[in-house]
Amino acid sequence: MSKLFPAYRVLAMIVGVLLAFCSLVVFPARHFAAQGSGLQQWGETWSILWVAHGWVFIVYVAVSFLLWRQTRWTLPFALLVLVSGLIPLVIFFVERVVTRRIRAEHPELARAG
Amino acid sequence: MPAADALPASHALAPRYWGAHFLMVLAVVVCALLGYWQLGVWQSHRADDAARVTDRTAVPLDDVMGPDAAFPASGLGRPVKVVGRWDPAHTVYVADRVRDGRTGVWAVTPVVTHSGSAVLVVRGWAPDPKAVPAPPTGQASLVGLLQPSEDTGAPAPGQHDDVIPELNVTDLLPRASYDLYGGYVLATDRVVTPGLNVSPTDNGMSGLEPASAEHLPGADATSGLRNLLYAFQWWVFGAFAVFMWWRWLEEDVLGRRPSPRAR
Repeated sequence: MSKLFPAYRVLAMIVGVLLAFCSLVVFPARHFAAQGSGLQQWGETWSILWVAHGWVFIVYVAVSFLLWRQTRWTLPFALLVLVSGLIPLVIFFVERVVTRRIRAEHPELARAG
Repeated sequence: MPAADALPASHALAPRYWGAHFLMVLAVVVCALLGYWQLGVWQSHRADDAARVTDRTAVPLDDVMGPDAAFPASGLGRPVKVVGRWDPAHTVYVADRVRDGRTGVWAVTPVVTHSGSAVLVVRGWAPDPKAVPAPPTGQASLVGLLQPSEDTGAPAPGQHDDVIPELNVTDLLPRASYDLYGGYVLATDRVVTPGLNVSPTDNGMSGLEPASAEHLPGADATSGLRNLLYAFQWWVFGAFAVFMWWRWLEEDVLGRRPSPRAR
């Protein structure tokens, strides 16, 4: 019935991939490659993805919040889920924990969709 | 959850929830500051774009706009060289000009160029017309920023008013026998020929504070747009943090409303 959980998983993957790409590939290219080099220019161009990350992250936060309201996670766990979209790679780990917890504690959410 | 289970609002003040309240306030403050920071970056991008025009090398006025020509779009904010003779008798003061938060006047004196037409030169700003030193006479040579004639719909001044509401070239045209260029020039302290020693009185600015250009190329619309979007993103986050805190408080702490799908 609810598409919340699948939406959460898809958004977590998009946020995670964008953040990892931006912070681990684009950022170093833009700031540490020689000024004016092809690599540096490439980093300059692709840094537009930060904007995409920002807006997808807003949607991720909204969906995570709705999921939190259904699951009634404790505040610290809910904050971890929300903030993980800002720390490179952490979201991949958090998404696995969330998936495991939802399947165990809220099978009706995992089944739906 | 029945309403009878709801706790009084004062329960939310219990010390065990202080950490959560503090986090909400912290999130709002951090988001607001980050938003303002990005807004500042956006504004400085636009200022840089405008400066790219005003910092260009000055060219003779007639290369950008002839005496009878309409104001060219590419001339906005361009530094131009104005050489000619001051016409102190036709000095006027433009009212309600703001500099550093103070309202004063611009002192404007025409310079008659070799073409026989005159261009209005804003010499600078003063708190009121009485504070403006006597207009310069003789040779004029200055670098000024080219600005379009103003037309805000202010009522035309009387023919003999010294203080006028706006710098409208058409309104001033009947006052003198010469023709006027279709724009005005804002005097700067740059010298006309770098290296050549120009007398400081030539630019008419002595005794006045520099006026600032009111019309500069509105930067490219996309200039720093990314930073403006970031600024909005941060503010959206800040607002959402408050919303999440409020829903958590009502549902989880005070038990005011049932979970969307209470089991």
